[in-house]
Amino acid sequence: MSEAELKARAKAIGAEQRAGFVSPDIPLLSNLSVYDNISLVPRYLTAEKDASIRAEIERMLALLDIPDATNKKTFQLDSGTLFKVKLLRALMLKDSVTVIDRPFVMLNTAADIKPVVKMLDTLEVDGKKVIFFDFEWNKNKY
Amino acid sequence: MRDFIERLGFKAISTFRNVSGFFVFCLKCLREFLTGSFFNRAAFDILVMQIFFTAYQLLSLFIVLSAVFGSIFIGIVFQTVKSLGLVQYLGSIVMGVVVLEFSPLITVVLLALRSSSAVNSEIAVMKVNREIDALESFGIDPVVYLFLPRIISFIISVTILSSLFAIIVLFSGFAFSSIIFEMSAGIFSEMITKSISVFDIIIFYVKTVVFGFFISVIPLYNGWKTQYRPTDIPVSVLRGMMGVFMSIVFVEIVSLVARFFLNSL
Repeated sequence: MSEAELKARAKAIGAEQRAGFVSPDIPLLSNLSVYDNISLVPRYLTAEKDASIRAEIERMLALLDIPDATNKKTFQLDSGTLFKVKLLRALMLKDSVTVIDRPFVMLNTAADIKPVVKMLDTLEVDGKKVIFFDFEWNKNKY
Repeated sequence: MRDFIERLGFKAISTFRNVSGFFVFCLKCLREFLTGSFFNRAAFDILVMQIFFTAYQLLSLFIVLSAVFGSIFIGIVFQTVKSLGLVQYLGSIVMGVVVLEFSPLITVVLLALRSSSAVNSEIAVMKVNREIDALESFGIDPVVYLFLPRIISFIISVTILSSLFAIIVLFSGFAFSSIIFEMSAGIFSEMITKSISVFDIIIFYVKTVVFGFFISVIPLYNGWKTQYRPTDIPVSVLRGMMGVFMSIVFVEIVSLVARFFLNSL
């Protein structure tokens, strides 16, 4: 599914805000480290101080049990860690909905959506709207 | 006949689209430059890193190359000047040919071979991997974040390295003039200062800026226009490097004509 299609879907269901995508079609930047990938969004779009961005990212990486991934490049990550990094990047987009597109394509060993929900609970993203898109045949996994 | 006309029309339309697309791309880069978008801290990091890759990493090799190449070239020029009995024109030859023409040309060729091709393939790979789409999906303008810092860093790098090359060549010139012509440092520097005009210096720096602009913007544009197919990456680099070569020749011709007219005023 292309980014345009995802945006159109998000808009169709009334999510008029900006969307942070977690999608197999929207990769991390391969020449940046995990930290740089996640921090790029707030560093580019906001005036938040570098020190507070770093503290926030390190806190979230620790919550997701991947504190040692901070300086790794994307090719060094397994699929689960890649998903977590994509999720954190999307969550860094303030005042946005988070769109998780086909999570089981990225988390191919997960039996159901519980690990993702657990991640969201751990990160305490209660105030954030999270939208899942998936194939019809994955309905029973939710 | 009809096939031929159709092919001709198709070629003309695609060429027009390509050229107009390139100009639109240049204008967008210029607009973002004038609005100061590159002061964004994420873009500024790219600018610093690109200067590091383009100029600083090359520096030691560049100094050795310019010392060796410049010395050989200036040695040959001095020997030729001596054998033809044109010693009175030595200053003009050193400044006009070796410093003002040779220095930026060698610098830009070296940077084009080393960095333009790298930038072209980097952007093409990012396009094919949809990393540029990923940036856009998060509201990050690729012109501001990816392209503008690279263009500015190329302009800075070409200007600094050309000046460095010119300085090294002038030192070589002094060394060779004392060996071949037994000329003192005072006479050599007087000869050099007499044979250079303000126009020459202006054209030198304008040329380095234009060189820097073209050897970055052409590969960036070609990388950005790559289709979403890995097989398009070598085609994009090929087109980009051909464009860079053509632009170097074009800028060199224009600068020669400009110097000729300005010096004859």
